[in-house]
Amino acid sequence: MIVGFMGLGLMALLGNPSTTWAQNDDTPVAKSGSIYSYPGFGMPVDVIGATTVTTGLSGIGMYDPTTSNLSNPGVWALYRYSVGSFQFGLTNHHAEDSFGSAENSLFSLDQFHFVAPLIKGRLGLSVSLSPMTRSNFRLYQEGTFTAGPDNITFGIDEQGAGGMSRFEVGLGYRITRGLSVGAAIGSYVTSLDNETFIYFSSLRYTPVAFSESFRGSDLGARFGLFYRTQPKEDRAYDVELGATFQPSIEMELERSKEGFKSIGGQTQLVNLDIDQRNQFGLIKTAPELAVGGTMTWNRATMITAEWMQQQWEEARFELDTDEEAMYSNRTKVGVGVQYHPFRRVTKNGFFHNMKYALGFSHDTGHLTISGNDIVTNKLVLGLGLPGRRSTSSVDFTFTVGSRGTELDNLPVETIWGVGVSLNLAEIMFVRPKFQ
Amino acid sequence: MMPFKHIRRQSLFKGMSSIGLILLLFAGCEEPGVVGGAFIDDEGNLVTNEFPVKEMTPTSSVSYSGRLDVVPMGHYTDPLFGEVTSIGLIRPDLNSVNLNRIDSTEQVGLKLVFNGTEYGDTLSTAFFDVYEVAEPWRGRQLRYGDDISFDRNKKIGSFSIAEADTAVIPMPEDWIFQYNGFISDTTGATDSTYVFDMPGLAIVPDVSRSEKMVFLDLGTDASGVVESETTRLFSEDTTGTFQYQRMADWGAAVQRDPSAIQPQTSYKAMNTFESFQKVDYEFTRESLVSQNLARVEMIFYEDTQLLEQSLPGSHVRPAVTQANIHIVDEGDVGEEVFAGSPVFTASRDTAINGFRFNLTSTANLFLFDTLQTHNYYLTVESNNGLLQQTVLHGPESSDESKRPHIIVTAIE
Repeated sequence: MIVGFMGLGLMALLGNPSTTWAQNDDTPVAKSGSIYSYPGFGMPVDVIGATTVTTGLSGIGMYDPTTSNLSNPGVWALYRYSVGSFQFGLTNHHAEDSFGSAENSLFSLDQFHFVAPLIKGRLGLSVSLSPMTRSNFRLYQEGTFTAGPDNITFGIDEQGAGGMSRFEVGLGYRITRGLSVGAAIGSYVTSLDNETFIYFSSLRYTPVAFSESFRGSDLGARFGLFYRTQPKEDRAYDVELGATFQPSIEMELERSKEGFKSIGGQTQLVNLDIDQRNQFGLIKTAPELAVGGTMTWNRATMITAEWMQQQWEEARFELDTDEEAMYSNRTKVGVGVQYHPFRRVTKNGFFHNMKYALGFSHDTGHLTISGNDIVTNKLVLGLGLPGRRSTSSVDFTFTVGSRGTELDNLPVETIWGVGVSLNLAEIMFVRPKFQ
Repeated sequence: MMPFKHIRRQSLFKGMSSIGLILLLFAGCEEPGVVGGAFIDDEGNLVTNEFPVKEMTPTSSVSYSGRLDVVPMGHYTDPLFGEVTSIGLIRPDLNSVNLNRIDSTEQVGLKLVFNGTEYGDTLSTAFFDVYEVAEPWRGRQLRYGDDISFDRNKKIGSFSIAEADTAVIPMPEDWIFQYNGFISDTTGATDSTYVFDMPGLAIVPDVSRSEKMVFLDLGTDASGVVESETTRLFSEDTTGTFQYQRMADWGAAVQRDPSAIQPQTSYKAMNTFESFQKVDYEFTRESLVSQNLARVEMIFYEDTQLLEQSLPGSHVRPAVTQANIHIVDEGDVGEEVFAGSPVFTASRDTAINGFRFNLTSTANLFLFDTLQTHNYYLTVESNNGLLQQTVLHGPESSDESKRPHIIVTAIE
């Protein structure tokens, strides 16, 4: 059942690449996320390896042969049989500030990752599809302006969807028994679509509707390093360490703007950027350095700690320098614990056949607004169900958190979400008789 | 892999999936609200720009004064628009359905119905004498300024109008006799001779005693159908039965003394086309701010100070409620604005005492297509017989806020 479900998920993901690439979801509900994903080309989406998905951490410093790890290319060298994962979830954002409140929900297809060992335990191939940034928001603003003798009240309803996605292929190679390295090259595609409706209090003004699209693509790379101690009979614990580096990516973004206009009495769809002002602009992602480590006791208890730094002050968004000015360097730290009792206790029992996990992360955010960092704190509770006849599993996550600050009338978001990770293992290279 | 009970695992998986689905459905509802105003400044993208109308050039035309909606009649000395004297002209029809040959026992009268609009001193009484017209005329050919003679020796009667909106004038026997001769003629060749031999009736204001104009309602609705209670010739027999005859033709001989106030920086706009304006404005890419226009409007303001100060307390002018812009690139301007349809219309905005034309579609034509150069003419109302007149501030007005201008609201 798990395998079948995962197969359907993969077919859905790969069979509709435009949906995946654009991160758009045309369903009438559950398509808006954090309001802080409005500025620039979206909010950064961290790679969450299936290895640590139940703690909400990326898993840079952790290897699990039964679950894929997209976050660290150095880990890909270690797999002895193929693994894959498919993650999706729904996140609810309740935002409040001194102006009002909003309730937004986002259903997201988070990632697909597949790793196949080319040389078992030494050289591994990784193929993945994952988001880099996500911009899914809906906001409503009201204001007034004076036009000649009139004081007009207006409302702006703006919805945005999209972000930057990457399709990535990479290799991991084990250099020594404990040390491995990896690198990946990816095609990065940015696709942002905003729709704006403006309503006016005066009937003299007809509502204005227009859409903006941003498109761009380029190639990028990232690198990983992974080290783990070799198990010893007389030692109750093992240690794993990992580090990754992602250089910044630059791409030229093309903006198009369209809307319906009454022209000489006839309504036509027209390009609103015909004079080509601001039609092209450079964007540059933040370079990222991350390190993490995991200590495992008795094979069943794992404590993970991570630190990540993204230099958003180097990032660019030329099409709106005001939004670009909000970028500030981002630091994220996290700690998590996983308990897999079935690895240690050899007795049958309902609660012994599950994975338990708890994780916490503190993120200073990539935006500084009016001198305030947009901090995100998240607590993740994870529960995993290993398969009955294979090492495949289904992991569920439950997330609660908050983002933002009340200072300077900024919105505070209460976040909670549910997520599912389908982890597939042993499907290609291991015959059933080996299981 | 650890052994376990298959049934429990399946139940747990189903349970977890159900909980997840419920949570997904519950969380799937959205209520977008007003948040983020402290850091999202979309308001800054809404931009307005104003630029002036370049020039207003006074224009005039001698337009038609017959077969209009109403017939102006009376005398009034308007300090702003000049002394106006208007003689009403009507000619009863011959072949209306209800009026056959008039019997000598019948009472015959002319019932004049006015539309209630007044121009002048509302407290005064207007005095009129009704005479037979002395020369042939046709309503469709009458123009403002035409002088139609009447025979002062053939007076039909007199009446006055104060607040009442109807007047009844008994018709003399000799007129009835002559008229009877035409309606009893069955040869079918009476129309032309009727126009020449019996040209109709002139309703002449007593200039010395009248300081008010009233407007005769001919009672035709938009489709041309004559309403029952309207201006008509009627007869009443001994049994009290009424018959009526509608008007075959009507018009006005209007004379205006031009010696009136000539504003320096304001412009007269009259629905008689005795004065209207050629308007010059120009769009540029810069003045329109962006291609994403919310509204482009051109505003003209009435010179209310001049309009009000030029009228004594109890005096009124017929209200101007609509202004129009015509495009006339070739041909006779007066004929075109009289017969053609305006490209823009604007109702009077009582909040600003002005007229606001929506030019958004035309501005988009300039931005996205080819907007040809046109000659634009600003008129008020239509030439309907009501003497509707106003004065508009011009580009050189001393009150800068009242100068005609174009306001652009755009999204950058």
